[in-house]
Amino acid sequence: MSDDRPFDRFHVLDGPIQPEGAFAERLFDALAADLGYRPERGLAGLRRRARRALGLERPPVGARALRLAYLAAILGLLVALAIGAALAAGQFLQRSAEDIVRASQALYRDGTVPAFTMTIRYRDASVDRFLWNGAGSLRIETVSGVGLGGLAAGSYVVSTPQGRGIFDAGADTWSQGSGPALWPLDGLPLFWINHEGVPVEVPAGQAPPDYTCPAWLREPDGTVAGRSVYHVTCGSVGFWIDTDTLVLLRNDNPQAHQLEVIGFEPGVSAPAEAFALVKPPGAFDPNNPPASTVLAVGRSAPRLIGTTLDGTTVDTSAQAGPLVVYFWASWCQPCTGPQLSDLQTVATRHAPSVTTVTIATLDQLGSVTGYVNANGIRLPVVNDSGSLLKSWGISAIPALVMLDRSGAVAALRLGLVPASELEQMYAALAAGEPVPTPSATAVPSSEAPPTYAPGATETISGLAIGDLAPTWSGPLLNGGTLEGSSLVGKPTVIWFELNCADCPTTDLEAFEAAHRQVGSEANFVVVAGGEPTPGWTAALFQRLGITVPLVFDWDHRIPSAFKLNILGTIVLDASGRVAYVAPGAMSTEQILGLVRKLKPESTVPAP
Amino acid sequence: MRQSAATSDARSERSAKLAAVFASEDEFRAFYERALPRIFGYVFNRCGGDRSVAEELTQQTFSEAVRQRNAFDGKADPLTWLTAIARHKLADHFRRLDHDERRRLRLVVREIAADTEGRAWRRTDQREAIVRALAILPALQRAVLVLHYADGLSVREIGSELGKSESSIESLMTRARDAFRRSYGEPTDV
Repeated sequence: MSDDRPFDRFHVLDGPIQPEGAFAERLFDALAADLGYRPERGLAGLRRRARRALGLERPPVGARALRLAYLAAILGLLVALAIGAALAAGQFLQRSAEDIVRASQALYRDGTVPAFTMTIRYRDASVDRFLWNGAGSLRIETVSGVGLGGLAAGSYVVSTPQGRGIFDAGADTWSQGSGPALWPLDGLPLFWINHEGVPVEVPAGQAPPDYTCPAWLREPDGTVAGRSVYHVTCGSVGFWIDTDTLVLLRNDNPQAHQLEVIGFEPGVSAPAEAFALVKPPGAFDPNNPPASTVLAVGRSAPRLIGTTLDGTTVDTSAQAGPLVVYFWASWCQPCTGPQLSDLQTVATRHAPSVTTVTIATLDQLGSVTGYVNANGIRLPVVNDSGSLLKSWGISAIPALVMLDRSGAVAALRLGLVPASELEQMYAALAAGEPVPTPSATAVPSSEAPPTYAPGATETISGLAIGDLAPTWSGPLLNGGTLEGSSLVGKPTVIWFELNCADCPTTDLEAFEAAHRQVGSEANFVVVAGGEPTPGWTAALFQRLGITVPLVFDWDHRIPSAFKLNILGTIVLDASGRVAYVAPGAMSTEQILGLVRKLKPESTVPAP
Repeated sequence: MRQSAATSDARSERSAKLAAVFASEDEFRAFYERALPRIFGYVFNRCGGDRSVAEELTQQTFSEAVRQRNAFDGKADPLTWLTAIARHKLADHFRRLDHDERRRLRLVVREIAADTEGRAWRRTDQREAIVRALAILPALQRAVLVLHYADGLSVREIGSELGKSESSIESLMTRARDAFRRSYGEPTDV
């Protein structure tokens, strides 16, 4: 309802109001002086007299010639001032928003951004440090939290025109991929990419398209991480650019990566070696790791203490006779099945002169007990969260460690050991003789057989980070065929799982949760080795409301193509190259972290 | 012809009146003391009741008048002329304020609730209530309301004063009226 009553009363706004006396007097004095009524005293008078003497004072009315001279003088003075100011302060004194944006974008596009050290905190509170050497090399360090897509603090990635290297501080591995980064500043979470919520295809060797705006607006300058910054806006999107280096320090585009620059210094304090593709001392190649970084044949092994599933304490230092320790996991297909039953047969034959203990590592208690009960495993089993594996520095499972009477390592074998060889090793150990070394380690042929590469020493996969994924396809649970090639264009998370009746469903649910949170920004696929009974998987998926596509792989061709030695998770980047490999299932947070890193512009929520 | 001659007479009469105003300090003081409360009241009531802003605008108005005294064309009474200068200063002030507000608020239309404080205003005198209700409106909304309802300017005149198109003044007026009703506290639909 329209009501004009309040507006009818606006005439009350015309009523006179007496200002404060002091103000009225001050103003009057100033006006009287301007009008020339007052003798001019004090500083103000002096200033006025000086102005008059210099011809800057307004001349009396009617003095046309004087007025012209005055105008000319003022005009000349203004021109001189303008020229002087422009010369003195340079053309950038009053940069327009467009100028600032263009100059900053050019740096990123051409890779001519000056060297800097930038510390970034992500929404999940993890902190990364970015060191850009100004010459095409970027080093990204995880300072705290789960940075760099699931890597532990202390890990780092070096990206250079010659290739990339990743040091994983958690696993103490150094992996190196060949081929240059696609774009000089690839890896920076803050750059002038044209987000608009649409994933951008970046052709090799080119920069992503710049953020464009029909009308940039320059706001008052501000501060980011203690640095003075230009603040330019495009509608509701704001960008903050370091006034000194023109490096982008903040972007509040809702489509942008949610992070905060908490430290920025021009220049890099790290030595040149920090950008070298060199394996750090002590780290090993995950594709060709030593069996153990701690154990060595002939030397005594550090003490291991654990509790078996039936409550017995196992202490390696308290053994009277020889001891065999077998590391396995229920999710590790080569570790279980015939290998575990062979071990049980041989171990039983040599008991009690040789004690055998198995350690189920990086596994869930439910899966371990489920497997042990279902398969009649009578060997003592210690459930290990991973700490026992780590304390012996074991780099892969299955792993077989033999300790002699004195507690020294008599044998250390990774991978499958045939039953006959196992028997020879046990016999030698019981007799106190040198344990035979493996005859010849079988190397997987290029035509990978439909089994896991026997005897191979690779931890998880024979593929290196940066390798192109193999061609693969498989039948989908809901009908049709999934072609691996159809997944290129987005990051892809492939989880190879056992799909067993006794397995807990938490890993599957965690994978589904990641799938739902990421949405269409990445592909998720479960590759299952089979199912206990026909229709079992479909029923499980329906019961749990799982929507992730599942591919059946009856003859294990897909893990073989991926050169998998144990079941795990492989993450491919949008170009179809291996970006990350993990044993077993990954947590929802790890997957989200990885997808965020692979797609800096993504809207994937932080956990 | 007669009328034009009469107008011309009136003009020269007013010009003489203004010249007389500046003839001596005493004359000027007499005019100043008469005009000051009018000008101060004019800007104080319209700028949202902020004394320091009102003082600043008053000073600008008088200083401008002193500088422009020779350009006075006698089209209006000296006090009306001074008020017109004050209106320009006020419009400039609103434009500056609007620019600052845009920077701060990015076109977010303020939603003003008729809170308990708003209802309490009605107990104070009417002028103060209007001034305070105006004070919390965005600058341009305040500007169109006072220029239209207090100064009687047309939409076209307001547009030229604020440097905006008529259509934008019209939509501004609609928003301003709604916002003012809410902040003034009547009519209320609660």
